[in-house]
Amino acid sequence: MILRRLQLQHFRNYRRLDLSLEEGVTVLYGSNGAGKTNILEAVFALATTKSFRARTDRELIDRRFEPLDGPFPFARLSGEADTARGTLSVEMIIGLDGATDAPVLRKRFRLDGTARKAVDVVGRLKAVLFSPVDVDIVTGSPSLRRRFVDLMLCQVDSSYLRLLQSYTRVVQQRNAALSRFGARMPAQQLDFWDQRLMADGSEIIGRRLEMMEWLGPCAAEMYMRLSGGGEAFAIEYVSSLGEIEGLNADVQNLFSQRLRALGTKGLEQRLTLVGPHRDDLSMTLDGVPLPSFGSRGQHRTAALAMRMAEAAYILHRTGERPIMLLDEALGELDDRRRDHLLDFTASHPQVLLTGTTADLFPQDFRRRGALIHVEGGAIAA
Amino acid sequence: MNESSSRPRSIDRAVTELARLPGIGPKTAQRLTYHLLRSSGDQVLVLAEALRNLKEGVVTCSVCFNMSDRNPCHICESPDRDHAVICVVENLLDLVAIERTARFRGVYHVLHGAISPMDGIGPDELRIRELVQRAKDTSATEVILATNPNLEGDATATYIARLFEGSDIAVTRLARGLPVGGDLEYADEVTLGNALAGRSSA
Repeated sequence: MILRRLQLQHFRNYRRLDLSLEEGVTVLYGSNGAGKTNILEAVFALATTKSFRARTDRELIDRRFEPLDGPFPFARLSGEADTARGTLSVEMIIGLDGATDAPVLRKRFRLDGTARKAVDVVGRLKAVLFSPVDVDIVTGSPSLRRRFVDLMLCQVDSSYLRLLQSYTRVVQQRNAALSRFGARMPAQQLDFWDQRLMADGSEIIGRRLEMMEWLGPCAAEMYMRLSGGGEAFAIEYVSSLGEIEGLNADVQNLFSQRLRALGTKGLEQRLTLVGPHRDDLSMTLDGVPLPSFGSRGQHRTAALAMRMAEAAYILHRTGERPIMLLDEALGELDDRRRDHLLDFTASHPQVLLTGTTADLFPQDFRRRGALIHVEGGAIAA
Repeated sequence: MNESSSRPRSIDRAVTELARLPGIGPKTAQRLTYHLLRSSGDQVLVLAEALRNLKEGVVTCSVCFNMSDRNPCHICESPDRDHAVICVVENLLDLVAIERTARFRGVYHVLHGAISPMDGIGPDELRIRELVQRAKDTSATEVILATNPNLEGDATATYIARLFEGSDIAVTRLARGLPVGGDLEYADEVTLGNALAGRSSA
């Protein structure tokens, strides 16, 4: 997949940008705060409908937005790409919802010029982001690992996102019902939520397990190649439902047993204590838990291996090589790991990298690619 | 509102009251208020009169909880309707929508909402008990659950269906499927899946 053109309006520090991109490697360089990462963020947002770092959509709109630019602040991102199935255009507009006077920021999307919902847009443009904060997937909270898994599945299968949204709402509704009744919850009222919880939840776990069966060995292989062998990296899905034996396991039945086993304890806590929203990934190196015992370098290598496996998985599921986005991703790497990462990404039709200077990248890598100098929210000549 | 000190209180009151309406924010409320200020006195009075009589002329039907100018409502009183078939809807607008099809000859039951614990709405906040009692009292043969095809609508329908288990009353749900005039390729998997599952002979 190749992004041919990226247009930004009032996005972050870009008042207006119309950037043509080529196949192969593009290095975006410039000083801190110039706006290099904002370009990667824009591509990532067009692929996933979400920013990888903004907490609110308001942050995405140019802070200098002036009344002269229009009555209401907005940001517009648009990308045109070549895919295996022909050309694709994705547009995202962050602005006030026109239907009401109440100032609510909404994201709207267009796919090939037609208005579509976010769920229909996710994963049309395919991209994998490598970032220094990826190490949090290894050392951070379980929610970050669930997000890693979920975002990957959403990119290859839009029905997964629907399933996830539906499940999330079931958990919210069930918890709301529990917080009202606690242990005095009437069975008749709990029943529906439990049925939906188990049906949607088992489906989610099933799809995650299926994905992990492919991703686990792939990530292990990537780790081996990055580190030059020696240590065996393993990654496994750990469910709050307990041990799940194989892909054909009856997850729904297990779910039902766990819910029943929790009994009134689950009701008293007024929370849904088990389900895919409480699951995690466990990572080990030679059988030893990686997050607590590994070195920073090992954490970093594992995170890299997982991102590389993510790219391989997207290719495996969709037949399309995603756009590689490397945000200051070479910083802490030794030569071996750096060369390996660059080789891997270069096997993809398009790679966008950021760095403070162009010299960070090996000579031959730069020769193969285009250099773009970013300065103050614009492309310097 | 910032300007409130500089303008008559009657204007502020009108703006505040209008802004309470759904779909109307402070700006639209202000625009409507100033529009009314500029309109002829008659026009404003006609509107005021219409609003004043809105509630007075309308009562809730004690049988189906529809709004009508009489109790029981004209649908519940009509001899042309099949009173053994009760269509259960969440809201008045859903009733209006089904009436517009002119395909339904039964009677209605308006729940006035759907089960949604997040919004503090459980079965007791809805007209569910009345529905069960009514179906028994009138020896209904069928209850059609026409709640919305979303999570809360499903929760409500499932809950009600449970209550009729073991009775002779047939409980049915509206079919789910593809919108007329839509494109198959643009249908989401859930809708298409439902349409496949609920297919009928051609």
